Amino acid sequence: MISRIMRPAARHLFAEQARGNLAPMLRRFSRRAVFVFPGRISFSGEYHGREAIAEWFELFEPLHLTFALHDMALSGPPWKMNLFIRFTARQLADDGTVTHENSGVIHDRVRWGKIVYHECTEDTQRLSEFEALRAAS
Amino acid sequence: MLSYFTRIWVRRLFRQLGRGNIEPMMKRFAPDAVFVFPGDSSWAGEYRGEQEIRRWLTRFARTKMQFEVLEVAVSGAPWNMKAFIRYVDRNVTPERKTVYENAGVLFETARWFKVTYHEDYCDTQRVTAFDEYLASQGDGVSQAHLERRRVVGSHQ
Repeated sequence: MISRIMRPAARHLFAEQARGNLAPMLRRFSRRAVFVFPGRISFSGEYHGREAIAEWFELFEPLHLTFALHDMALSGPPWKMNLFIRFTARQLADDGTVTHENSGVIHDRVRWGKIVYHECTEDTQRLSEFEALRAAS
Repeated sequence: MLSYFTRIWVRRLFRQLGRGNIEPMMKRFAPDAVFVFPGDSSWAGEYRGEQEIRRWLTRFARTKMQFEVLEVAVSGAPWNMKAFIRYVDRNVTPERKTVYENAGVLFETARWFKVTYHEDYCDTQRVTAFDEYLASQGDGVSQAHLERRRVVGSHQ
């Protein structure tokens, strides 16, 4: 039930992010949140605090990825909640062809409505190939 | 509550898998289940049905991978259930050297407690590195896969 209520809110956040409006997404993070992106690509690393996370989103924004959210699940009480979101990220060319597609899972640890820990797990090999293609072009 | 019980159950299953016993894990899958592993390693692919999943798990169990189940979240009704299982897995040699460590999330759909779809989300670059380690230890499947990749790479 809670997952169903949260789904429109999450879709709205990702849609805003895709439009370049990062503020609603950043407000979801607590001031001392930890943000983890795995792999050995330029986006990989562990970012501490809302400012560092904002810098990450600003780096990510020029990719103009759109997110389709598929499944969502929540567990735990409001002071120790775990939220999982399964998604597909796509980059579309001007003519509508898909230039990149990858699916992944976001895991958020949430305390009283604020994200304190965020980890995004995706196929890092595919991301690495995408990055190499972008660098070549 | 359901997430709590699922976590206890899944922990037990992974402990058994780490000891090389795949049967409790196999019993979870529906006969027509789909099992997806991402990336471009020898483990990657889409495996359909009991036979293909059993083959994958048998090879996986031989690695004696150790799983630590962290968080679990379950949603949906018993006839259309979705589960997320966050884990860390490690491969440690008899000399206690960690040769592989990865974190990931398993996503599963289940119908009346039988898994119909299973997908693993993890850092696939680390899985490829593990393939190289396995090949160096004489794993034929990893060796053949890396050789195939090398040949394909040389023709591109």
